[in-house]
Amino acid sequence: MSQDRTDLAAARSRRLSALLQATDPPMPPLAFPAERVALAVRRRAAWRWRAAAAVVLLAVAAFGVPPVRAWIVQAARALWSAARPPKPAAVASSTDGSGGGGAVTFSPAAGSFALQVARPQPAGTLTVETAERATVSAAVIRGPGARGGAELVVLPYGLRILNDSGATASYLVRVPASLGRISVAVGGGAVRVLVPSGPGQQWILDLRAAP
Amino acid sequence: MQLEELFARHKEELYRYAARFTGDPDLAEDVVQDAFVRLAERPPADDSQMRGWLFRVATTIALDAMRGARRRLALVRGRHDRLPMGDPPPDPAAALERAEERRKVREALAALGPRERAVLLMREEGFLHREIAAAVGTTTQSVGTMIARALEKLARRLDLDEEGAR
Repeated sequence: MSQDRTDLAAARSRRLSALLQATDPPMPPLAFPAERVALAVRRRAAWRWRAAAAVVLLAVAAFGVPPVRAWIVQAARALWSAARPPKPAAVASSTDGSGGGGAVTFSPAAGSFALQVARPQPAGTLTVETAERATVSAAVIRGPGARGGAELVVLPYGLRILNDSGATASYLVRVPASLGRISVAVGGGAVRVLVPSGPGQQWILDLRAAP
Repeated sequence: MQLEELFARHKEELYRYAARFTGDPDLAEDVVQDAFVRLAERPPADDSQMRGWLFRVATTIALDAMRGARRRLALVRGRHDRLPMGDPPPDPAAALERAEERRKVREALAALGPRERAVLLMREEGFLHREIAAAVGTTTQSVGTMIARALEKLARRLDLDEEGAR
Protein backbone atom coordinates (compact mmCIF):
# COMPACT_ATOMS: atom_id res chain seq x y z
CA MET A 1 0.00 0.00 0.00
CA SER A 2 2.75 2.35 1.07
CA GLN A 3 4.81 1.27 -1.92
CA ASP A 4 1.84 2.03 -4.17
CA ARG A 5 1.63 5.56 -2.78
CA THR A 6 5.36 6.07 -3.27
CA ASP A 7 5.12 4.84 -6.85
CA LEU A 8 2.13 7.07 -7.51
CA ALA A 9 3.95 10.13 -6.11
CA ALA A 10 7.02 9.32 -8.20
CA ALA A 11 4.91 8.99 -11.35
CA ARG A 12 3.15 12.28 -10.63
CA SER A 13 6.51 13.95 -10.02
CA ARG A 14 7.86 12.73 -13.35
CA ARG A 15 4.80 13.95 -15.23
CA LEU A 16 4.83 17.29 -13.46
CA SER A 17 8.53 17.78 -14.23
CA ALA A 18 7.90 17.10 -17.91
CA LEU A 19 4.94 19.46 -17.95
CA LEU A 20 6.87 22.24 -16.23
CA GLN A 21 9.81 21.90 -18.60
CA ALA A 22 7.51 21.97 -21.59
CA THR A 23 5.82 25.14 -20.46
CA ASP A 24 8.82 27.05 -19.04
CA PRO A 25 9.34 30.47 -20.59
CA PRO A 26 12.62 30.92 -22.43
CA MET A 27 15.56 32.19 -20.47
CA PRO A 28 15.89 35.92 -21.15
CA PRO A 29 19.31 37.55 -21.50
CA LEU A 30 19.49 38.41 -17.81
CA ALA A 31 22.11 41.05 -17.07
CA PHE A 32 23.94 41.32 -13.78
CA PRO A 33 22.48 44.38 -12.01
CA ALA A 34 25.94 45.93 -11.61
CA GLU A 35 24.82 49.48 -10.85
CA ARG A 36 22.27 48.48 -8.26
CA VAL A 37 24.73 46.08 -6.64
CA ALA A 38 27.42 48.79 -6.51
CA LEU A 39 24.88 51.13 -4.92
CA ALA A 40 23.92 48.49 -2.39
CA VAL A 41 27.56 47.87 -1.50
CA ARG A 42 28.11 51.61 -1.03
CA ARG A 43 24.95 51.86 1.10
CA ARG A 44 26.16 48.98 3.23
CA ALA A 45 29.54 50.62 3.80
CA ALA A 46 27.87 53.94 4.59
CA TRP A 47 25.56 52.21 7.05
CA ARG A 48 28.54 50.72 8.87
CA TRP A 49 30.17 54.12 9.16
CA ARG A 50 26.93 55.66 10.36
CA ALA A 51 26.52 52.93 12.99
CA ALA A 52 30.10 53.43 14.21
CA ALA A 53 29.60 57.20 14.31
CA ALA A 54 26.37 56.77 16.28
CA VAL A 55 28.15 54.59 18.85
CA VAL A 56 30.95 57.14 19.23
CA LEU A 57 28.45 59.99 19.50
CA LEU A 58 26.47 58.13 22.16
CA ALA A 59 29.61 57.37 24.14
CA VAL A 60 30.77 60.99 23.95
CA ALA A 61 27.33 62.27 24.92
CA ALA A 62 27.09 59.82 27.79
CA PHE A 63 30.55 60.86 29.00
CA GLY A 64 29.23 64.40 29.45
CA VAL A 65 26.68 63.26 32.02
CA PRO A 66 28.44 63.24 35.43
CA PRO A 67 26.91 60.03 36.86
CA VAL A 68 27.57 58.16 33.62
CA ARG A 69 31.09 59.56 33.42
CA ALA A 70 31.73 58.53 37.04
CA TRP A 71 30.38 55.09 36.30
CA ILE A 72 32.55 54.73 33.18
CA VAL A 73 35.66 55.88 35.06
CA GLN A 74 34.92 53.54 37.95
CA ALA A 75 34.24 50.62 35.65
CA ALA A 76 37.42 51.32 33.70
CA ARG A 77 39.42 51.51 36.92
CA ALA A 78 37.94 48.27 38.21
CA LEU A 79 38.64 46.57 34.89
CA TRP A 80 42.19 47.87 34.88
CA SER A 81 42.77 46.73 38.43
CA ALA A 82 41.33 43.31 37.69
CA ALA A 83 43.35 42.92 34.51
CA ARG A 84 46.59 44.09 36.09
CA PRO A 85 48.36 41.49 38.22
CA PRO A 86 49.10 42.67 41.74
CA LYS A 87 52.58 44.08 41.76
CA PRO A 88 54.91 44.57 44.63
CA ALA A 89 54.88 48.20 45.73
CA ALA A 90 57.92 50.24 44.97
CA VAL A 91 60.10 50.01 48.00
CA ALA A 92 61.56 53.29 49.14
CA SER A 93 64.69 53.45 51.24
CA SER A 94 62.90 55.42 53.94
CA THR A 95 59.62 57.26 54.36
CA ASP A 96 58.18 59.71 56.80
CA GLY A 97 61.17 59.23 59.07
CA SER A 98 59.84 55.77 59.87
CA GLY A 99 63.29 54.45 60.40
CA GLY A 100 63.73 52.41 57.21
CA GLY A 101 61.79 49.70 55.34
CA GLY A 102 59.28 49.77 52.47
CA ALA A 103 56.58 52.36 51.83
CA VAL A 104 53.75 52.80 49.39
CA THR A 105 51.03 55.34 48.67
CA PHE A 106 47.96 54.68 46.52
CA SER A 107 44.29 55.58 46.05
CA PRO A 108 41.96 52.98 47.52
CA ALA A 109 38.75 51.85 45.85
CA ALA A 110 35.67 53.40 47.40
CA GLY A 111 33.87 51.48 50.13
CA SER A 112 35.59 48.77 52.09
CA PHE A 113 39.30 48.17 52.33
CA ALA A 114 41.13 44.95 53.17
CA LEU A 115 44.41 44.71 55.02
CA GLN A 116 46.05 41.30 54.89
CA VAL A 117 49.17 40.31 56.80
CA ALA A 118 50.48 37.10 55.31
CA ARG A 119 51.43 35.48 58.62
CA PRO A 120 51.88 36.19 62.34
CA GLN A 121 55.32 37.35 63.50
CA PRO A 122 57.40 36.74 66.63
CA ALA A 123 57.14 40.48 67.35
CA GLY A 124 55.78 43.70 65.85
CA THR A 125 52.52 45.53 65.45
CA LEU A 126 50.22 46.80 62.73
CA THR A 127 49.04 50.35 63.35
CA VAL A 128 46.07 51.66 61.39
CA GLU A 129 45.38 55.37 61.50
CA THR A 130 42.63 57.40 59.89
CA ALA A 131 43.38 60.80 58.40
CA GLU A 132 41.73 63.54 56.37
CA ARG A 133 43.15 62.38 53.07
CA ALA A 134 42.25 60.54 49.89
CA THR A 135 45.16 58.12 49.70
CA VAL A 136 46.41 55.15 51.66
CA SER A 137 50.03 55.17 52.73
CA ALA A 138 51.78 52.22 54.29
CA ALA A 139 55.28 51.81 55.62
CA VAL A 140 57.43 49.08 57.09
CA ILE A 141 58.99 50.28 60.30
CA ARG A 142 62.15 48.53 61.30
CA GLY A 143 63.43 49.19 64.76
CA PRO A 144 67.02 48.54 65.83
CA GLY A 145 67.80 44.85 65.53
CA ALA A 146 64.67 44.11 63.47
CA ARG A 147 64.90 40.83 61.58
CA GLY A 148 63.30 39.34 58.51
CA GLY A 149 61.86 40.97 55.39
CA ALA A 150 58.47 42.28 54.36
CA GLU A 151 57.01 43.52 51.14
CA LEU A 152 53.93 45.69 50.57
CA VAL A 153 51.64 44.57 47.75
CA VAL A 154 48.83 46.82 46.54
CA LEU A 155 45.67 44.87 45.74
CA PRO A 156 42.62 46.07 43.79
CA TYR A 157 40.68 46.08 47.04
CA GLY A 158 43.38 46.76 49.66
CA LEU A 159 46.91 46.02 50.79
CA ARG A 160 48.79 42.84 51.51
CA ILE A 161 51.87 42.70 53.74
CA LEU A 162 54.02 39.80 52.58
CA ASN A 163 56.14 39.19 55.66
CA ASP A 164 58.61 36.46 56.57
CA SER A 165 57.59 34.25 59.43
CA GLY A 166 60.62 35.46 61.36
CA ALA A 167 60.04 39.17 60.70
CA THR A 168 59.95 41.49 63.68
CA ALA A 169 59.14 44.78 61.87
CA SER A 170 56.05 46.85 62.57
CA TYR A 171 53.76 48.42 59.98
CA LEU A 172 51.99 51.75 59.86
CA VAL A 173 49.02 52.15 57.54
CA ARG A 174 47.29 55.53 57.21
CA VAL A 175 43.89 55.39 55.56
CA PRO A 176 41.27 57.98 54.52
CA ALA A 177 38.71 58.50 57.26
CA SER A 178 36.07 58.32 54.55
CA LEU A 179 36.52 54.57 54.10
CA GLY A 180 33.41 52.66 55.05
CA ARG A 181 35.12 49.72 56.76
CA ILE A 182 38.51 48.13 57.02
CA SER A 183 38.88 44.40 57.43
CA VAL A 184 42.15 43.18 58.90
CA ALA A 185 43.31 39.56 58.71
CA VAL A 186 46.57 38.14 59.99
CA GLY A 187 47.46 34.78 58.44
CA GLY A 188 44.44 32.52 58.47
CA GLY A 189 43.16 34.05 61.70
CA ALA A 190 39.88 35.77 62.41
CA VAL A 191 39.04 38.88 60.44
CA ARG A 192 38.78 42.03 62.49
CA VAL A 193 36.61 44.82 61.15
CA LEU A 194 37.48 48.44 61.85
CA VAL A 195 34.87 51.09 61.14
CA PRO A 196 36.34 54.59 60.85
CA SER A 197 34.16 57.37 62.22
CA GLY A 198 36.49 60.29 61.55
CA PRO A 199 40.11 61.35 61.22
CA GLY A 200 42.61 60.81 64.01
CA GLN A 201 41.52 57.32 65.04
CA GLN A 202 44.16 54.72 65.70
CA TRP A 203 44.14 50.93 66.12
CA ILE A 204 47.25 49.02 67.15
CA LEU A 205 47.13 45.31 66.44
CA ASP A 206 49.59 42.80 67.81
CA LEU A 207 51.02 40.63 65.09
CA ARG A 208 52.25 37.90 67.41
CA ALA A 209 50.55 34.59 67.04
CA ALA A 210 48.06 33.85 69.79
CA PRO A 211 49.59 31.49 72.34
CA MET B 1 33.33 34.11 -4.88
CA GLN B 2 32.46 37.37 -6.61
CA LEU B 3 28.84 38.40 -6.99
CA GLU B 4 29.04 38.32 -10.77
CA GLU B 5 30.30 34.75 -10.72
CA LEU B 6 27.50 33.77 -8.38
CA PHE B 7 25.02 35.46 -10.67
CA ALA B 8 26.34 33.59 -13.69
CA ARG B 9 26.19 30.31 -11.80
CA HIS B 10 22.70 30.61 -10.34
CA LYS B 11 20.73 32.97 -12.58
CA GLU B 12 19.24 30.30 -14.82
CA GLU B 13 17.86 28.01 -12.13
CA LEU B 14 16.75 30.99 -10.07
CA TYR B 15 14.93 32.49 -13.04
CA ARG B 16 13.25 29.19 -13.86
CA TYR B 17 12.14 28.82 -10.24
CA ALA B 18 10.90 32.41 -10.03
CA ALA B 19 9.04 32.16 -13.33
CA ARG B 20 7.28 29.00 -12.20
CA PHE B 21 6.61 30.40 -8.75
CA THR B 22 5.15 33.71 -9.95
CA GLY B 23 3.80 32.63 -13.32
CA ASP B 24 5.17 35.91 -14.64
CA PRO B 25 8.43 35.88 -16.65
CA ASP B 26 8.90 39.65 -16.33
CA LEU B 27 8.47 39.54 -12.58
CA ALA B 28 10.85 36.56 -12.46
CA GLU B 29 13.58 38.71 -14.04
CA ASP B 30 13.08 41.36 -11.38
CA VAL B 31 13.11 38.73 -8.65
CA VAL B 32 16.46 37.31 -9.78
CA GLN B 33 18.08 40.73 -9.97
CA ASP B 34 16.60 41.84 -6.66
CA ALA B 35 17.88 38.68 -4.99
CA PHE B 36 21.43 39.57 -5.99
CA VAL B 37 21.01 43.17 -4.87
CA ARG B 38 19.82 41.78 -1.54
CA LEU B 39 22.90 39.55 -1.49
CA ALA B 40 25.12 42.62 -1.89
CA GLU B 41 23.24 44.43 0.85
CA ARG B 42 22.98 41.70 3.44
CA PRO B 43 24.99 38.61 2.55
CA PRO B 44 24.29 35.43 4.53
CA ALA B 45 26.56 34.62 7.43
CA ASP B 46 27.18 31.12 6.10
CA ASP B 47 28.46 31.03 2.50
CA SER B 48 28.03 27.28 2.29
CA GLN B 49 24.23 27.69 2.22
CA MET B 50 24.34 30.28 -0.56
CA ARG B 51 22.10 28.45 -3.03
CA GLY B 52 19.36 27.83 -0.48
CA TRP B 53 19.67 31.40 0.74
CA LEU B 54 19.20 32.75 -2.79
CA PHE B 55 16.08 30.66 -3.36
CA ARG B 56 14.65 31.66 0.01
CA VAL B 57 15.26 35.34 -0.68
CA ALA B 58 13.85 34.99 -4.19
CA THR B 59 10.69 33.44 -2.72
CA THR B 60 10.29 36.31 -0.27
CA ILE B 61 10.82 38.92 -2.96
CA ALA B 62 8.39 37.16 -5.28
CA LEU B 63 5.73 36.96 -2.59
CA ASP B 64 6.14 40.64 -1.75
CA ALA B 65 5.88 41.59 -5.40
CA MET B 66 2.89 39.34 -6.01
CA ARG B 67 0.97 41.03 -3.23
CA GLY B 68 0.53 43.96 -5.60
CA ALA B 69 -2.88 43.86 -7.27
CA ARG B 70 -1.42 44.51 -10.70
CA ARG B 71 0.87 41.53 -10.48
CA ARG B 72 -1.91 39.32 -9.17
CA LEU B 73 -4.00 40.29 -12.14
CA ALA B 74 -1.18 39.52 -14.49
CA LEU B 75 -0.73 36.12 -12.88
CA VAL B 76 -4.38 35.20 -13.39
CA ARG B 77 -4.69 36.62 -16.86
CA GLY B 78 -1.40 35.21 -18.01
CA ARG B 79 -0.40 38.08 -20.20
CA HIS B 80 3.18 36.97 -20.41
CA ASP B 81 3.18 34.13 -22.82
CA ARG B 82 6.56 33.42 -24.23
CA LEU B 83 7.38 30.42 -26.31
CA PRO B 84 9.94 28.03 -24.91
CA MET B 85 13.37 28.62 -26.36
CA GLY B 86 14.38 26.23 -29.10
CA ASP B 87 10.85 25.30 -30.08
CA PRO B 88 10.23 25.22 -33.83
CA PRO B 89 7.82 27.86 -35.12
CA PRO B 90 4.45 26.34 -34.27
CA ASP B 91 1.50 26.13 -36.46
CA PRO B 92 -1.47 28.14 -35.13
CA ALA B 93 -3.27 25.10 -33.71
CA ALA B 94 -0.16 23.86 -31.88
CA ALA B 95 0.53 27.36 -30.58
CA LEU B 96 -2.98 27.58 -29.22
CA GLU B 97 -2.69 24.20 -27.58
CA ARG B 98 0.67 25.13 -26.00
CA ALA B 99 -0.71 28.42 -24.72
CA GLU B 100 -3.63 26.61 -23.17
CA GLU B 101 -1.27 24.15 -21.49
CA ARG B 102 0.82 26.98 -20.06
CA ARG B 103 -2.29 28.66 -18.70
CA LYS B 104 -3.43 25.46 -17.01
CA VAL B 105 -0.03 24.87 -15.38
CA ARG B 106 0.16 28.49 -14.22
CA GLU B 107 -3.31 28.37 -12.71
CA ALA B 108 -2.69 25.02 -11.04
CA LEU B 109 0.51 26.29 -9.42
CA ALA B 110 -1.17 29.54 -8.42
CA ALA B 111 -3.87 27.53 -6.65
CA LEU B 112 -1.29 26.06 -4.29
CA GLY B 113 -0.37 27.91 -1.13
CA PRO B 114 2.90 29.87 -1.44
CA ARG B 115 4.69 27.51 0.91
CA GLU B 116 3.52 24.37 -0.89
CA ARG B 117 4.47 25.95 -4.19
CA ALA B 118 7.94 26.89 -2.94
CA VAL B 119 8.52 23.42 -1.51
CA LEU B 120 7.41 21.66 -4.68
CA LEU B 121 9.36 23.90 -7.02
CA MET B 122 12.52 23.79 -4.92
CA ARG B 123 12.30 20.02 -5.04
CA GLU B 124 12.08 20.35 -8.82
CA GLU B 125 15.39 22.24 -8.67
CA GLY B 126 17.01 19.31 -6.90
CA PHE B 127 17.09 20.55 -3.32
CA LEU B 128 17.16 17.96 -0.55
CA HIS B 129 14.26 17.88 1.88
CA ARG B 130 16.40 19.24 4.70
CA GLU B 131 17.57 22.12 2.52
CA ILE B 132 13.99 22.93 1.59
CA ALA B 133 12.96 22.71 5.23
CA ALA B 134 15.66 25.22 6.18
CA ALA B 135 14.67 27.55 3.35
CA VAL B 136 10.94 27.64 4.08
CA GLY B 137 11.24 27.28 7.84
CA THR B 138 9.69 23.90 8.52
CA THR B 139 10.73 20.40 9.51
CA THR B 140 12.20 17.85 7.11
CA GLN B 141 9.24 15.53 7.77
CA SER B 142 6.76 18.27 6.88
CA VAL B 143 8.45 18.82 3.53
CA GLY B 144 7.57 15.29 2.42
CA THR B 145 3.97 15.76 3.51
CA MET B 146 3.71 19.12 1.77
CA ILE B 147 5.10 17.72 -1.48
CA ALA B 148 2.66 14.80 -1.44
CA ARG B 149 -0.26 17.15 -0.74
CA ALA B 150 0.79 19.56 -3.48
CA LEU B 151 1.17 16.71 -5.98
CA GLU B 152 -2.28 15.44 -5.05
CA LYS B 153 -3.80 18.85 -5.82
CA LEU B 154 -1.88 19.24 -9.07
CA ALA B 155 -2.76 15.71 -10.14
CA ARG B 156 -6.44 16.63 -10.09
CA ARG B 157 -5.99 19.89 -11.96
CA LEU B 158 -3.43 18.71 -14.50
CA ASP B 159 -4.54 15.11 -14.95
CA LEU B 160 -1.18 13.81 -13.81
CA ASP B 161 -2.62 10.38 -13.06
CA GLU B 162 -3.84 9.76 -16.59
CA GLU B 163 -1.85 7.31 -18.64
CA GLY B 164 -0.01 9.12 -21.34
CA ALA B 165 -0.25 12.44 -19.53
CA ARG B 166 2.85 14.56 -19.99
